[in-house]
Amino acid sequence: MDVPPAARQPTGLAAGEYSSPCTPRVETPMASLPRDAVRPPAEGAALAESAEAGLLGRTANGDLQAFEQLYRAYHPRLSRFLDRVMRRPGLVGEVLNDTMLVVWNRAASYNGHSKVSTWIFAIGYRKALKALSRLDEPVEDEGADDPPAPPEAGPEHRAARSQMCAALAQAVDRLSLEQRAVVHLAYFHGIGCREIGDIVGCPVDTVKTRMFHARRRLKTLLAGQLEDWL
Amino acid sequence: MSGQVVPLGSDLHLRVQSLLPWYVGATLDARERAGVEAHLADCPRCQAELALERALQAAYAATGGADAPAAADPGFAALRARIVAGAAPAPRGGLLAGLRARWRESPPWTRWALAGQGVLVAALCGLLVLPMSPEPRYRALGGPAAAPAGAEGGQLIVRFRPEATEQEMRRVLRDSRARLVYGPTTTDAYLLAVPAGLETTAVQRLRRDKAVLLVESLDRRAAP
Repeated sequence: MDVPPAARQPTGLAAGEYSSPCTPRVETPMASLPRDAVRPPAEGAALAESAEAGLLGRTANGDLQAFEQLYRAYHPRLSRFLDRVMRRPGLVGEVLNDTMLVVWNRAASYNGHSKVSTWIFAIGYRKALKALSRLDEPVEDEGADDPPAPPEAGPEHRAARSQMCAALAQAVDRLSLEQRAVVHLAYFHGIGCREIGDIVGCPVDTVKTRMFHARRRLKTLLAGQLEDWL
Repeated sequence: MSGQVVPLGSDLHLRVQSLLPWYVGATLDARERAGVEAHLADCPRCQAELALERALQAAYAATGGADAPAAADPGFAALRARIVAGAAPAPRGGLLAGLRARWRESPPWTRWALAGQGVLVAALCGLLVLPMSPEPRYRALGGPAAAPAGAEGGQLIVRFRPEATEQEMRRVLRDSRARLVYGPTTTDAYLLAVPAGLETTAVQRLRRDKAVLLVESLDRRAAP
């Protein structure tokens, strides 16, 4: 069962207008971009909320084809989320399938009080925490606030932008698991703070506090580089 | 770090800056967005934070494009195999299937802990069922003599006078070289053990004692 390719584009923008510091042909300064221009192209998000709820309902009735559509729609998003939160690439596939197995088994318990994506991401977040707790090793290895080693400098402008992305990725990796989850859900998936609270199971004020600390730490870790981005 | 509580509400700049990630993401409600925009209009400091926020989010989105997720096909094939192998949805599989699925999903240490608890509960149940001691918990005075093993002496039933004091009872026991085995019964009788050969002497001494109301030998070793 094939799933239609991702069709959602950032609101008000053509695909070519999507900006990325890692895309060399884009020269528009960040600060002058439209407000929601930074939203990445949604992947695996071709299904509308009502369509997802319909697939989940059919899944509850044992429709394996409907479940496969849901699986394919969520596979890219969940993979990236779990990869960013856990920082254990070797575990992503297993935890993703554990998550979707819960979706298959408990589809009938979805009550429609939240979006389908919120429900599934919340299951994924809990599965990620469980998987990390089973590792019997420290989940976090946050270092001091000294900046991460910058990638090797290159003469090309393209290389410089790639370095920015790499430096940011390294800095985000040094946030706590809770902060990484909030940052990823907000920055990459464009999810609102209340919905993030539903996913990670905490009040919205806690989500804002985690984001506040995450931004402050990112600024510390990227000190001296941020000016070049603006 | 994430556990600290920052009083974001105490500073308008901090409050606005805490909302900027979602302002850039366009997920604030109308009231919050209006508040942020009203503040941004007159605050160069928060405008700079907004520019930084946009740069951060754009850069972060781009970091995700570098490593595309793995294809879904192998993952779904593996999951479908698990489902076909028996992990049917809970509503159709019933309670037992749900419990089996949860058992399989549980981490190994949980299974070992549950198994250990099961063994412990079984052992405790066994202790409850088996007699704790061969000694009966209730003994009829008219029943067979139940002197401790190795004690060859006789057993006497004694009733003290109601007015007898505890000191008198102790004296009676000492004088007759008797030990208190059991009592008082519902009729205020006591079971005494006396050394072998002293049964008759003990009975006679007890009968003379003014603190004693009644003395009988249980095993008839004492002369009447």
